[in-house]
Amino acid sequence: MKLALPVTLVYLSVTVGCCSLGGVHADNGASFAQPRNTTPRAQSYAHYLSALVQERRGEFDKALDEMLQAATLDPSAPAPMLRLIRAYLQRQDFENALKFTERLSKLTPDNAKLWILAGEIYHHLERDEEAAAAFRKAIELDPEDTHSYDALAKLLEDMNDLVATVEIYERLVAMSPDSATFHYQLGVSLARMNDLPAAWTALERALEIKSDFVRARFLLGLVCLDEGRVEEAVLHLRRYLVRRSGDREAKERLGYGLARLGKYAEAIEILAGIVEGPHVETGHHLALMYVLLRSGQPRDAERYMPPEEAPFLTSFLRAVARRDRGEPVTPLLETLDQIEGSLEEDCDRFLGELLRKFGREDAGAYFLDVLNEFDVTGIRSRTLRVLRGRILMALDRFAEAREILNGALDEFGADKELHYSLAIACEELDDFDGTERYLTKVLEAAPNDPEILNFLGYLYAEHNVKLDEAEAMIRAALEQEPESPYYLDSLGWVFYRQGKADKAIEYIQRAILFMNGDDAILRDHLGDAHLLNGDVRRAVIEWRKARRLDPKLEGVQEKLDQYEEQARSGK
Amino acid sequence: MARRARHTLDSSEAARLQSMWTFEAAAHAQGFARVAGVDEAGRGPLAGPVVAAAVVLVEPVAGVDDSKRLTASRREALYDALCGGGHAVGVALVDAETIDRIGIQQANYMAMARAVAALDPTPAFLLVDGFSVPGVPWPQQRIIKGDQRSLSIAAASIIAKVTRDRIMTELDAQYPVYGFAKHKGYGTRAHIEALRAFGPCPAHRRSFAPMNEAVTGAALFGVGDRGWHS
Repeated sequence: MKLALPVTLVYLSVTVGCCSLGGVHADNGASFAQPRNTTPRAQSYAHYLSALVQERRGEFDKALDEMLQAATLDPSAPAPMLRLIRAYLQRQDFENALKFTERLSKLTPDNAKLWILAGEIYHHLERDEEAAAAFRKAIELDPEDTHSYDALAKLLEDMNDLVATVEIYERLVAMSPDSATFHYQLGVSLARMNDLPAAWTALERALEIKSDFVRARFLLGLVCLDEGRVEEAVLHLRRYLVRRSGDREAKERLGYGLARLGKYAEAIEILAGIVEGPHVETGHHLALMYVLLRSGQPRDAERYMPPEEAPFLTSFLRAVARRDRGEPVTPLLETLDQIEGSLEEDCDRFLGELLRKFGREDAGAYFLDVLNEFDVTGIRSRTLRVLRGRILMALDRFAEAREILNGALDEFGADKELHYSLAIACEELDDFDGTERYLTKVLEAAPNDPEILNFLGYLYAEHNVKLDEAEAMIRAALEQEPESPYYLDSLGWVFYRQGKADKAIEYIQRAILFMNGDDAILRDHLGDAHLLNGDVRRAVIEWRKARRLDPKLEGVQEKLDQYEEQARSGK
Repeated sequence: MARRARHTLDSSEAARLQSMWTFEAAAHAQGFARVAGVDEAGRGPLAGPVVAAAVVLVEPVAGVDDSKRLTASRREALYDALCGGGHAVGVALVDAETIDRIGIQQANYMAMARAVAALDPTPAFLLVDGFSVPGVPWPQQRIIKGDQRSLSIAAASIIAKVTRDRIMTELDAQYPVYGFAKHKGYGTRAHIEALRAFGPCPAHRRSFAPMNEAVTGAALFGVGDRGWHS
């Protein structure tokens, strides 16, 4: 900003701290004034200085008034406007901050940084499309500046648009191939969308560039574990722990990896250290029990039973320990059905966790072998049947699971948990009648359960039947959990079936925002809703995202084959 | 969708947590060992305190996310995990009377500064949702949409939200006619109608514009003077 003569006068008046020449006053005797008949610019600067002092005094309202006058008196001066924007941001008055940012961007339309700021404010006002446009404008103005790409990538990530985020990071990586950070961020986004091979490549590259990039090392360790590259995972986690020896999460994962490699002694040492440390959780106890059993130390396994939670699974593992010690198991197994608690929670949370930690195939096969042996005892146990059914479901053996669970239903009678498990198995097997029958049974026992209301409502929507009933059920679920992305998508899907494209788009988009990651099914639904709305181009964009997120998702490729050409030609 | 998604992959959840740990990691890399996330709840409501929380996470906590993306029961579970996992948590509130006296902006600053001061051990660096806190001696970074971008701020938002919801439930027991437990003091239609019918109670922020309108409305209908006492 050019300092004209009147400004110098103002500066002098500030330095002497006195002699009000009219116009602008600050409290406590300080005056920031200008001679009468000065230019608006000089008056503006006086207000500007006054604002700075008020700000320092903590008089934010007065500072804002002064800054507003400064900006009004000299609308061509960027400095007061920038201060004003900052003051509005400080007060979280984003509307006004945006107003002045837009005004300032007209004064300096080529300032890419202003567009980034505008994008950030739009984002805060949840005007995400405009935010993205502002960031794209910044990129257009300064294509070499990676900050605008980064801002856009973060916005897209906040919007759960992981496919677009990955595309931005791919461009950043192409622009700065030696940036470990961009390779790492690309790896993070790829891992979030479960593209493990691509995440592996990106993270490996980040570590090639910067071998002490600890967060990349940790994430690569986990990607390797999920990919089944267990030896490699162990290697990375060991190297990571050299730098971050106190990271319990990493120790846990190393313990699981070592157990999967059969290196039980070291795994036990690590996991026992965790169980004996602070803030221990039920899952830690169960993991240690499992490893001790697998390593042939049943006596120790019993020592590490969790003090609370997971009563069914704990008793089951105790029974395995007794079997391994050559003791009779029948008395313990006979008590399983008398345990109070939620077998559903035991299966869903703790059994699922064990299978994930130690590898579904291997741990699942181990448990099924144990169950086969227990069967030989001739024990009749509903718990054991459900456990077997849930393990088979975890191994994607749904037909066998349905048979087992049906048998349990015949033998032990009606039961909400059994009906629910059967509904899941039937749904996986595309058995509409079975799914509907069992869900209806569950609803008889728990008529307000939002998850079941949504499950059945969505089933109807998916099969395009009983849409009014479906809408009522999903609305009832949403009343209990208004921001559940699952229920929002279901209602959007009902609207789609009812031909209400706008409402379908609105609800499915909200569902995407509330998910904690991107989702192929939701993108597919959104694409269908756009097509219903006659917007082939947007439909194709969403289906492409769906395909990127899950290349095997049924029907998506066919839709792309049918409509991609039309979207390209703009017809 | 038919059901809740099956369990996410370990690496996928870790990646989500890491993408929300970048501000913390940058501060750590600059040598700030204890990085506190700071957030508040209750700027907008017509009643109840503004609550601020500051949280120093010792490590990323699985499941932590923007409190708006979490169900009430999930927030409660995470509240317990955050208070019991070796993380440092500071909470402070500024009541309605003080809000009326000093204004919501100053009240926010005061609550945030007090929440940070309540941290033990003290933090080295602050990440603040939306705006910077004047008058605190530690360096800080303002992050727009911080509760979506920083795990520490998200954790603070959960603590602040749960604490405030609990306070509003207690206020509901004290002043049952307003339905505080349901709307948490926000200006819903039911709340405005209750204000018109019964006038404000001590938990109401009388300086808020809609309050004046509601109270004026109540006066017009001849019931304003009765207040909540009657």
